[in-house]
Amino acid sequence: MLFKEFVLHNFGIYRGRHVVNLEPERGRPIILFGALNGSGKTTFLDGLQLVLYGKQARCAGRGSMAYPDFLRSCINRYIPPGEGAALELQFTHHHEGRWQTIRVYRAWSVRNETVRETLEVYRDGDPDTVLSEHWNEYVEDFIPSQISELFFFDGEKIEALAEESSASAIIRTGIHALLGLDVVDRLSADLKVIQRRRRAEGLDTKAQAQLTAKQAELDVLTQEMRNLVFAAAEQRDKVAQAEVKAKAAKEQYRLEGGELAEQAAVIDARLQKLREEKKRQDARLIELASGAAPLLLVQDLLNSAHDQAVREQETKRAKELLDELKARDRSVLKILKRAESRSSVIEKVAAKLAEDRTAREHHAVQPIYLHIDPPSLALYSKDNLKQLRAEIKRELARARELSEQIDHCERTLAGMPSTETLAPLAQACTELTDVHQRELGGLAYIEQKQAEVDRSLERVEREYQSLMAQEAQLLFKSETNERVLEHIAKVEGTLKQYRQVILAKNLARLSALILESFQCITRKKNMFARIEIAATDYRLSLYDSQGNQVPSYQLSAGERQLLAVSILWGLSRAAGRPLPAIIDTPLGRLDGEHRSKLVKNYFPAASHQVILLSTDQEIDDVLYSQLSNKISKEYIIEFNNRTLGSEIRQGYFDFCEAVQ
Amino acid sequence: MIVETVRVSEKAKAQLLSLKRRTGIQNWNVLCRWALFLSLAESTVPPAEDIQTDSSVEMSWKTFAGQLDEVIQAVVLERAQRDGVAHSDIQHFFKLHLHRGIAYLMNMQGDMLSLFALLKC
Repeated sequence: MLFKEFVLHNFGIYRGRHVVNLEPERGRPIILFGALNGSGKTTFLDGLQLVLYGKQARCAGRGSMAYPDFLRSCINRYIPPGEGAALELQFTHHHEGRWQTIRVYRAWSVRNETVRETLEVYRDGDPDTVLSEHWNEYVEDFIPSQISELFFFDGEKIEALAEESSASAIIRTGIHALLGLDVVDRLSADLKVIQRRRRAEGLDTKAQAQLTAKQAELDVLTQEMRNLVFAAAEQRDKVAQAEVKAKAAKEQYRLEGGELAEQAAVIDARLQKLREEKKRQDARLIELASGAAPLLLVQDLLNSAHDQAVREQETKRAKELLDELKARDRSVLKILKRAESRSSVIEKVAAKLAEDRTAREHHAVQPIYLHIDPPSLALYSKDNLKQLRAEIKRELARARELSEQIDHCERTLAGMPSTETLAPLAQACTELTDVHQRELGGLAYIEQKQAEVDRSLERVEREYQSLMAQEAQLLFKSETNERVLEHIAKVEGTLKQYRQVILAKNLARLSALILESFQCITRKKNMFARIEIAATDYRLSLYDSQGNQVPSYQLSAGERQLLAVSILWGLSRAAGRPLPAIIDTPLGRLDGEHRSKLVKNYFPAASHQVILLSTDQEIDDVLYSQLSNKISKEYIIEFNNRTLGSEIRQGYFDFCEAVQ
Repeated sequence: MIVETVRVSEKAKAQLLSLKRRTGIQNWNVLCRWALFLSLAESTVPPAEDIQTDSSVEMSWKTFAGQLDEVIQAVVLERAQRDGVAHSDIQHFFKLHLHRGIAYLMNMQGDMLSLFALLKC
């Protein structure tokens, strides 16, 4: 991983856009920054932190500020907040066998009182939305924040590390980060959470209670069913008894004449039928009466009328004939006269004809008073009336028969035994039938209840079964929980072991590295033969060549600082990651020789890219000359009184000037 | 026709009503026919009487005679001839016999069966 370019825009004390090329040349890892106090060195470092880690950045200038407030405070005071500030960092990174260039662009401004931040990440020149959106996660791939601590330090940190307790803290952090033990710790913590959760999920006592209650319900219903069965049997007996009694009463009733009473019903029905038939018969008779029947009263008149009609007809005919004959006779006589017959003949003929006519006259002079043609009376001839008479006779006979039958029925009915004698028996019959009906009703009721209980039983049984299934499930769950808890315990054990073993292995290695680093930069090279880091509390112990522990108070302040540097150096070497080192004024309390040692042995070896920030008092001209062949680029961070902003320009402190 | 309209007296009307009830015959004309023939069948001559046919009962000859139009005429005229009734008195003759007949019916006891019994079948 290599920083290539860093851009500050309106950031902190840096007004306007400032581009810094950080790329080292081969063999010259150092990028030197000279900056006097208050010129913007800290701001510069904060910028590097901020551009990479955003909210998670540990910036010196932040304190306990909320992130948006911090961002706001980082906008150069002479710039309108709407314009905002920005930071850019371009670095190369070896990934999956090839180098890629990542550029992070973080900008923010204030609009409507709110701070808006944009983050854009470019991969090999193209915007990469995935990286942009999930930068917080990806940055861990490039520079894990934990490890960055080890490559990013300043003099204060060194001084702090000089304290034993802090040393053990940083060792612990470093070791954990390096070995990925933080992951192991996190796993452990997660396991504990799961453990807690699963323990809480014990067998639900509520379910248990429900099951017991359901069982009780089931028992109650079963008992009820049994009772009902028994009751039903009893009731059936009652029904049978009542039936027997009712039957006996009916029989009694029948014997006492109840039968006749039933017959009465039959006879009554018959009577009704007869009456109806009689009605019909009467109607028939009326029909007959409305017809030619009354003629039978005057049959003889009818007969004589008929004779008369015949006579009248004859008379009429005779009269007609006579008229005809008269006319003919006249014409005959005329013919004779015209034929000039002898008058004696004519007289004789005339006389004969007159005689004949006279004889016929008798028939013609019969009285006519009816003026009715015989056919009109033909309908009512003797024979027809005879038939009518016969028919009437039949219908009358039938009518009489019906009357008789009706009478007979009525008499029979009248002769029936009175209802009074049968009343008590009938009563008894009715009562006992009622009882029988009641008992039947009782039985029906019990049977209905049985059906209900049956349904309830079925339902409760189903509910019970489902509760049982649930319980089984819960049981299974709890068994699963138990298994899981068991496994968690095992895993915890394994993790513990892992941690121990891996620590032990690496602590040895780390100790060696730290010792080596220390020996590189200390004057008393041979004083210390061994370093030991306790696996328990990570306390660092020094041992001399004799094997005796050298207590820390025996070291000078400077030596303690050097030890601190060694620890960091050792950790960074143990990390095995080629990350750039950023060192900020680390020389503080060291004396000249120690400084020299650091400058000669440590700074160039700290990493393949070492960004070194110093005041004019620390890397002074002497040390500068010792360092110069390892310097790729040098810059000065200067505050410009005119523009009221800091600037970064190439070059380093001009010692010639200072000397003057 | 013998008469254009057949009318009866108040008394006859009351009698006819009673006969209606007793025989069950609801038609005036039927009862009147029976009455007429009943009287005609009786060989005696009904006594001369001045009958006021002022009741509300009246029917046309057609209604009275029905299908028996010519037969009734024949029987009435035949009897009239026997009794030597002048043609001009025929209507009076008819009225007398009708009312006598109604009275005869009243005298008969019983119901319809008795009516038929008169026929001597």
